[in-house]
Amino acid sequence: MKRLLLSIVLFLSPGLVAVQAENELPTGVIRLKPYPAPPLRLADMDGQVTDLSRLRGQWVLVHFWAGWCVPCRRELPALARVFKDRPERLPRLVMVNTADTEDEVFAFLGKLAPDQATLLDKDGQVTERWKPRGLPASYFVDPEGRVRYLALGGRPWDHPPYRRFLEALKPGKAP
Amino acid sequence: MNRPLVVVGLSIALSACAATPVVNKPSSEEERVFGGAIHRQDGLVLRYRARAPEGMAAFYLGRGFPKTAVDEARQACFISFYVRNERPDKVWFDLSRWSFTDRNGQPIRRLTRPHWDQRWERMKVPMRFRATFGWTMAPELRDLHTSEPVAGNVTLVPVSGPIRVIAEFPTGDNRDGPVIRFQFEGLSCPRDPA
Repeated sequence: MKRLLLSIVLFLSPGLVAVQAENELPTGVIRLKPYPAPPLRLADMDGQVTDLSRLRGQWVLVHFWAGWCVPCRRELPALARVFKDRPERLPRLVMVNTADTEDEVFAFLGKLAPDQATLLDKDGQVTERWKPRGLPASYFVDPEGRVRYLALGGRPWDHPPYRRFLEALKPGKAP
Repeated sequence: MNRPLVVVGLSIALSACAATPVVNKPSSEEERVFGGAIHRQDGLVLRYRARAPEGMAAFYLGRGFPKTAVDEARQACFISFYVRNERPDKVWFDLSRWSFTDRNGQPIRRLTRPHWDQRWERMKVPMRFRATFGWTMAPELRDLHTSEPVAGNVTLVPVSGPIRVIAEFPTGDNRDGPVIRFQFEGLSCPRDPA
């Protein structure tokens, strides 16, 4: 009996986390009808490749940005602060730079988010496949590889409602 | 106190205040950085500024765009728009509902994405520059959720003299709510210094 109860609790807990996240959506974060995340396989400046399809089993925040984009410039430091503090409690952050040169990316990140690495979408075509509504764009991909939430425009990720939202998306299976 | 009544009362008062476009201070850092003129009406913020050709050229050249592509772009009149939805319902940013006319009331042709795509294709402009150029353009159609901004350039065939802009924004999920209409004439296409 105990085992059955434990199984039910374990089965439901990721669902409860998601319900909590959905009930407390901070301003500008919208729930989407889940759909499979478009392919994303890119290298960073060191040639290290990240393939989104290999990150199943955890929540992933896919963040598209560009150096010329003013709201990106304001949002990135907030994002970097949050993910520097306690990354283990948060979704996996995958940053994707859209069509800047390595020099531009290096200068930009070095100044605003020196601890963050970014993937380089050199010709902008991976970004096109994700069809962001604009830049910056933050998508939340659930542990089963489905896009579940979208943050509209730049958001103050280090403010409490946003931190709470990020922390509610804990590793585990999707409901 | 009856809260719904207070809310309704406040809404009526606010909508009465917002019946005509007013120009005032920016409410966010994003708006402040954008600069230019501000109009607020019925829960919608609209900002705009015409871009000088040399400024546009510097922006694109600074990002490595081929000079031929930049020369092509600087033939156009660039106007940057910023719109932010502060309403509780959806607002539709739909450029097909915008009109640009010259001092004689003649329509000014808008240079759309297909126009630029065709040009870039013919000029063999690399994909990464096309992508960046595309992101700096305003979308043709976008539903704006509450608190969502949209910004980007609208490109026109250059004209001399003032430009009248009429921008209509349908509202509601199915575009069946009231239409918010802005009209302003304080725009012109800046020219390079002679």
